[in-house]
Amino acid sequence: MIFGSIDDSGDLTIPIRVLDANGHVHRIVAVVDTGFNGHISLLPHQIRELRLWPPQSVAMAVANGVIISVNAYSGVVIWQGERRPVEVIEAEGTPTVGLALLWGSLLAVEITEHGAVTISPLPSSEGSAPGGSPAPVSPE
Amino acid sequence: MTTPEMDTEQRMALGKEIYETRIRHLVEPHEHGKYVVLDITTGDYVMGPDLGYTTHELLTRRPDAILYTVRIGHPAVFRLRGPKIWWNKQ
Repeated sequence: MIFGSIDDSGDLTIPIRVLDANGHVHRIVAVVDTGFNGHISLLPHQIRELRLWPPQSVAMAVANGVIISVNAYSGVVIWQGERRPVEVIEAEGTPTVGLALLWGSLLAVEITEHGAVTISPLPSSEGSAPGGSPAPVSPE
Repeated sequence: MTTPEMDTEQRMALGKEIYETRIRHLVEPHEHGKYVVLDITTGDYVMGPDLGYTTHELLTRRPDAILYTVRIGHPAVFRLRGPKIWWNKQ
């Protein structure tokens, strides 16, 4: 079970644990963003601190339909007590957790000031998005 | 300019050109939904249903690869609808 809370901005925040290149655990607070179909996004300086390498050029469709270029890296998070290989998107803003990592989970939120956020594995879940990859992006 | 010196936009442009001219006609439309991870330095590529595994397979074969990835039949690998993350256009 993962426990988080609603922050002062009204965002759903949870702690995640990400492994660096040497296997050391880094604890990062991330916002749950169900509009993001990938696993996680991290800030450029966090990518450097984790020493993730090499960058992988991928296209990402953003809200206005524009396709942009971003760097993605292979990483590992500790999720529900288990190591989970993930794709890490390098982006500015706020570290986020997307649908691919949440796939197979029950997300419960107390929608109130500083309400509790809990994420638990679904009993019948296989634990990852189909193919262990981001949910498909439909052609616009 | 060599590929390691390229920024993300330049690597994307070269990767897209390689995919469009050398690979696309071999994989579309029958491999719809799979990932193509290619090395833009050599043109070597691996195709598979899982992004992480496919990337690992290419890097095992070519540890110095400069990577570009396509999801066959999709305009993008990732989708973002919310405002929580953004990017610096290079």
